[in-house]
Amino acid sequence: MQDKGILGSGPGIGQKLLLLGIRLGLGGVFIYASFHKILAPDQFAKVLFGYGIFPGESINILAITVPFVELVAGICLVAGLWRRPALILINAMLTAFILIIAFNLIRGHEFDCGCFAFGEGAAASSATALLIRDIIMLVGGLILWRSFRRSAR
Amino acid sequence: MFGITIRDITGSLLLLAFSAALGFGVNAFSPEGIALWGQWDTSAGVVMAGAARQDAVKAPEINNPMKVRRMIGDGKTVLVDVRRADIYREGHIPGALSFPLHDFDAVISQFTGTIAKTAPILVYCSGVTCTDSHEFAARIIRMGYSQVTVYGGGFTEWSEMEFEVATDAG
Repeated sequence: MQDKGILGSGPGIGQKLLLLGIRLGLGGVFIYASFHKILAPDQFAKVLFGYGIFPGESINILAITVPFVELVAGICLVAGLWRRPALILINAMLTAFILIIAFNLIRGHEFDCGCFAFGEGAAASSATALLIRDIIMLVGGLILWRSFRRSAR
Repeated sequence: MFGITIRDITGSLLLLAFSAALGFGVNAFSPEGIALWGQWDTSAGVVMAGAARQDAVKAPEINNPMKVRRMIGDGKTVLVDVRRADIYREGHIPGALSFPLHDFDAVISQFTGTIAKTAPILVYCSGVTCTDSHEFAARIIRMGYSQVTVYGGGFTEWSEMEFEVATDAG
């Protein structure tokens, strides 16, 4: 086995492919997730309202800007441009999504995720699935960050 | 922390600023653009982002259920329920006509054929988190209807007030 572990001093070919997969996958997911929000900001604003967390004054501003942060960070990560700042933004967004979803699950507040399409439903079971999905993506993002720390900046 | 450098933070802030600028720029020129501040207070009527365009049509709202009840009682106001037909059949405000926004193209000829352009019209849907009433109102205003208002509280508020609910198809 030529591959060295994630904690090893340098990644082998298998690990490089895995890291490439995470980078393209994570970036691709964020690019894909931004499209429907950019096309219908009014619906995304309503989804944000439905989360029951954001002050009314911030909802439209978030609906206008967040999808573009997802898009730009996703493109940068996939293209390998400004990949460290892009990954910081993506990991920060994933952390925020996890905290928001967990907060609503704990207080029993139903919401429409609006992550990849609008009207996905608001069942508690799907919110749990969302939480697990976001945690898996964040783990991927953190593994990628470790590899960025090792490699040249 | 986590190996994040000052350069990373600066880069992240620059990416954030660029993305936000792009977002505001696209929003300003997009026909789907929204206002910078929306109406998100449920006690003030229907919650919505609001259009960015200055020429956007927006019907006035009535948010006093007692006033709505009086308006319906005078027999002059045409009450329009724009929720789906099956939901309408389950329960609606007495006297309301069913013209689902979902089937707008199919029902609009019947609407224009039976309701005069000068008639006072009150449109409602499920409640303050539903914008179908405003969408329907905006469409008929653009078609020339001159006295269109929206009942913001919609069916939810009406039934919460324990006012009479009709369950027949008429």
